Amino acid sequence: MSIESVATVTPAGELRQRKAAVTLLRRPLLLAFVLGCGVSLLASGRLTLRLVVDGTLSFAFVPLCELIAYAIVYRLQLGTRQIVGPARAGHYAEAVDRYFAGNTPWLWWMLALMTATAILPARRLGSLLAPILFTAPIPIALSVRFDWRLFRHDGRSSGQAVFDIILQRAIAWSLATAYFLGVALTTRDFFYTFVEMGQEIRSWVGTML
Amino acid sequence: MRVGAGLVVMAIVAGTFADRPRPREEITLGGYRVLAADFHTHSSTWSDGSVTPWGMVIDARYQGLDAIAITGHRQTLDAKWGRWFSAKIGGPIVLVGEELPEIPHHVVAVGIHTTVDSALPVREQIDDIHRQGGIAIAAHPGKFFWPGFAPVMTTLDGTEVCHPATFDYPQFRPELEEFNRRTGAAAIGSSDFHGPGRLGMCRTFLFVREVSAAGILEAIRAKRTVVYGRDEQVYGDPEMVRLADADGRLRQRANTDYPMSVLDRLSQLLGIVGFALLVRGVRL
Repeated sequence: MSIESVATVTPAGELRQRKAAVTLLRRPLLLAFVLGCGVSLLASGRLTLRLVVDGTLSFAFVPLCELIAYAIVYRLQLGTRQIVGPARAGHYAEAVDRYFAGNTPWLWWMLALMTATAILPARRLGSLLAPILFTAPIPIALSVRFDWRLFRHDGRSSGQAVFDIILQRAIAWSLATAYFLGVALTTRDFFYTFVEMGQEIRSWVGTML
Repeated sequence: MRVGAGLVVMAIVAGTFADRPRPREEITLGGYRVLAADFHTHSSTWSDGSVTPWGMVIDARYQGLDAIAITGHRQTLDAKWGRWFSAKIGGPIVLVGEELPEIPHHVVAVGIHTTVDSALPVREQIDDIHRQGGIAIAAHPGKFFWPGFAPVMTTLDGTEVCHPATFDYPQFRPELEEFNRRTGAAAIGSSDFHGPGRLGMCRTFLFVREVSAAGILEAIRAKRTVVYGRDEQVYGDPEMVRLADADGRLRQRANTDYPMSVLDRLSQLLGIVGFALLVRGVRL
């Protein structure tokens, strides 16, 4: 029996593993849970257990796709050896925990959306689509800024940090879009989405004017 | 952070207590059983919805619906899961459906068995739906979609006259009304449920001879439907509309903007404050 395997079965080893599991999962789970609560508020106007659980399950793919994408970026970062901090030390759970803190702007944005949901009557929730499209660039930009600073802090050069961010987004968003839209997604649909978004924004601006 | 988590738990407890199914009484008018149905819904399993097929079956109960069609984009798998689950729990009638989201025509197929090839021209799509014993509904047929539907104006079984977009964009309603007049098809109200809003927010009241999937499809083919839309507008077979208006209960059941209770408001407030504290606590 190796020293490593002994360490994993000792109480201290078990505790370390459990702590690492908690560190690894707490922020991804929080993200899924907030999404689940958002679903419940949007679909029923209240936080009800049946829809919170259902929504959390339904949107668990979001943190999962992020985890997969970050795991790939993390492997690349370790491979180049130009990295410091928890990632360099091989503490994947800790690195994930820090990385997922970059979702904080999204969590605030979702909270604002939940508040709007609570105020608007159910039949007017469709009117949220245009404000969602207009304001989504804010959390996108803030989370990119957060990740850039994190990667730079970890010793990546500017170019490497930009590359890591683009790679992570490309993988995570492609996976998430493919799952969410599923078989409905074709190239034609994809481009039509932008046509619909344009119509939506025009219509919204028209209403405002 | 603990306070935040505690508030969120309290919010869920309050919301769960407030969450009660809408009362569903059996309504019979003119010798027909009246059923409330939503024929255009999307689940979270590969159809850009937010609730699972089984979650939608449960939600249909809570929203006072007797039947739903789960209409995934170009697939029927989630509808079959929903139908299986509903049969297990004795839930509402679940019809297997599919939305064919082609440009420029979106067709909702209801009561089919297998996926209709969305690459087919619209006329052949509808022929296939009919061959399978199903019905074809024009989904949200605003002006943009009219050219796409031109070859099938007489073969459509139903057209959506009430769609959530009519509540946000007033100009959309007359377009749906005009299209329904031109086709002469059954009036349909569908929520196009993706998550926001309520399942059954726009719904179709069906005057059926038999409470079954076959009975529902027969009622649509015979155009025995009534739909309540924006600004108290009512659509459908004039005789059925007369019966429904004289009774009054269907108009009441069509409204999903029911008043929120104190527990609901408490759930919202505690949830939002709780999350604000939680999110503040997870900063790096």
